[in-house]
Amino acid sequence: MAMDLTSGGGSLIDSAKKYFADHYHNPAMKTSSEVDKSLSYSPTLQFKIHSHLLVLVEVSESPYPGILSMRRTDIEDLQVPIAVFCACPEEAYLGEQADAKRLINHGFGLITIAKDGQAQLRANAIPLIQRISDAEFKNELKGLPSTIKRRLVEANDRYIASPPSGVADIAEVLEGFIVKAGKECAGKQWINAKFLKPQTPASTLDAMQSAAQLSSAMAAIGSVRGYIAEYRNVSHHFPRNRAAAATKYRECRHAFLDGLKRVNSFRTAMRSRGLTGGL
Amino acid sequence: MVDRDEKQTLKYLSPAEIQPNPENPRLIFRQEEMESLMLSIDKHGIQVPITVYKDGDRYTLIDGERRWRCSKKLNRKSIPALIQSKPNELENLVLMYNIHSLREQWDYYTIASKLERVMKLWEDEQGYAPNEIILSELTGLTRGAIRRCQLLIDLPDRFKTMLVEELDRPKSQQRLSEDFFIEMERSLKTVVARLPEYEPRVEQIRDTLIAKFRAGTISAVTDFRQLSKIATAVEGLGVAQRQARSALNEVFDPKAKVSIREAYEDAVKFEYVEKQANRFAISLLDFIDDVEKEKRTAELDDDIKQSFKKLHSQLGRILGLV
Repeated sequence: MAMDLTSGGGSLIDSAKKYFADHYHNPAMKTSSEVDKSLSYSPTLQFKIHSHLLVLVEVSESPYPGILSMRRTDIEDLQVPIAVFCACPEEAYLGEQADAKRLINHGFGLITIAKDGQAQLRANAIPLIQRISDAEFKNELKGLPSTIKRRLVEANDRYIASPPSGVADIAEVLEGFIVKAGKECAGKQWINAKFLKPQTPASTLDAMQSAAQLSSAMAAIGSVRGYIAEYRNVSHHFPRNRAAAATKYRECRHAFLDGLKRVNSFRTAMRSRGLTGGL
Repeated sequence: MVDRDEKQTLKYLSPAEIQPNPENPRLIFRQEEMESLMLSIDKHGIQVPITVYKDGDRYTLIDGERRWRCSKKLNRKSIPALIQSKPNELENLVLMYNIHSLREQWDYYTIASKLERVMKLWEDEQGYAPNEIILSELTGLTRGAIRRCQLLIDLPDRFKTMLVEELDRPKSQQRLSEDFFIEMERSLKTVVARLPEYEPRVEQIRDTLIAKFRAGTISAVTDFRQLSKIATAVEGLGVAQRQARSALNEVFDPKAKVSIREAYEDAVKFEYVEKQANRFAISLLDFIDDVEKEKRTAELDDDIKQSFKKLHSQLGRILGLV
């Protein structure tokens, strides 16, 4: 039986090992060993999912072990994408719901282990460096109509599963706004309809930038153009190593939040010119 | 025995070079206490060196398993350690008791598990079994604690295994505790002493009581005290053996869903309350005697006079005097 911080963890460690071995197809697991020299924390278990995503598991008798709250920022600061799970007894999870909720809100995953050793996933873990809190995300949605909110929630789901795909999805949402605005501009004969070809948002934006009626929306149009050029194909470039992956995850986080801001600013600019600013 | 005053050396050791002491009677390390120590070590470092002895190419802990576990979790590069010579088995165990048990409350099984070994080693060394006083002096435990440990030591092996398996679980998944076994064993001892015919069935009775506790039929470990009271009622209260036996049989019957509390209430509770009321009545009579002897009747206030009048009238009714 493996030994960790507490004496009651042995059976939990065995069950957690089994769960992750089944779930991730037997990755090589290390027990109670160092993650990085600069990190003052040795998790109960650690394994690599692929060349640039490390998973740490802290087995604990409570749903939010002290060491995770103590080392959260230090883990985020490492130049490696790291996803962290807590594995705790089912009874502790049921009895300490507030702590479990806090753990999940802080970006950690959670599995619970029943008396018979069966493990159950309660929340998935995403790399801490890519994590956008619920509060931060909701704040960016303020003032948007429900249809757009729903579309952005969908993009966020994609972001959680894969940050580059989430960012590319935001670029797609922005393209939707451009197509709609372009059509409305052509309807008002501010731009020529020949610039509305599908899959060519740049030419639509160029035409909009040349329209005198949209002169006060130049900044918003320009920023959306730059965003699409930079992030439309972001998911196609797979990082070379763990450090490049960490940089990419960090950039994706920035890009996703920036994309949400640009949705808002583009929509506001279009509405100020009498367009719907919709999708 | 090795001279404990011999010179010790202080060294900084990597946690990886250290191994736990297999004889450490302390088996239980709970999350809350470990986290609070971990926070302190994270903030202030390790202020008191751990104690180890050199054992081959590694070091074995004598004192400081909690600090060592926290240091591993905190990925500390080194721990201050006092290195002393390797003790023999009895010295090792006695050292552990004296270092640890005086510092904080241990779980009883933790203590009991190694106390048995201490007793054996002492007997081998000295030629006679240690009594409670010797054990208390050797280990620093109180005689009460040693008696409680003895109840656990005397448990048949399969119940000890059951308890260890339970203690190995996280606290939130534990149902049976050392307190459960201590209370159960104490009550069974009382039952068997008063009604020896239960002795051959004790093992089976334990199984029934454990099953009833797990099922919630017995809701608290303190209920076992009422089991003792059912047995002692035979002598102390003059309750017929048949009445006590019938109550105990129901509790010990795995098919009957009768709890200790129900059996106690049905069989002997009234007798115990009656006995208690009698003690109150005697105490009241003593008080009245004193008041009369000291001629302080006039000092009795209205409330007590009122209560006496009510009592007088009720007693008259009960005794058929009115």
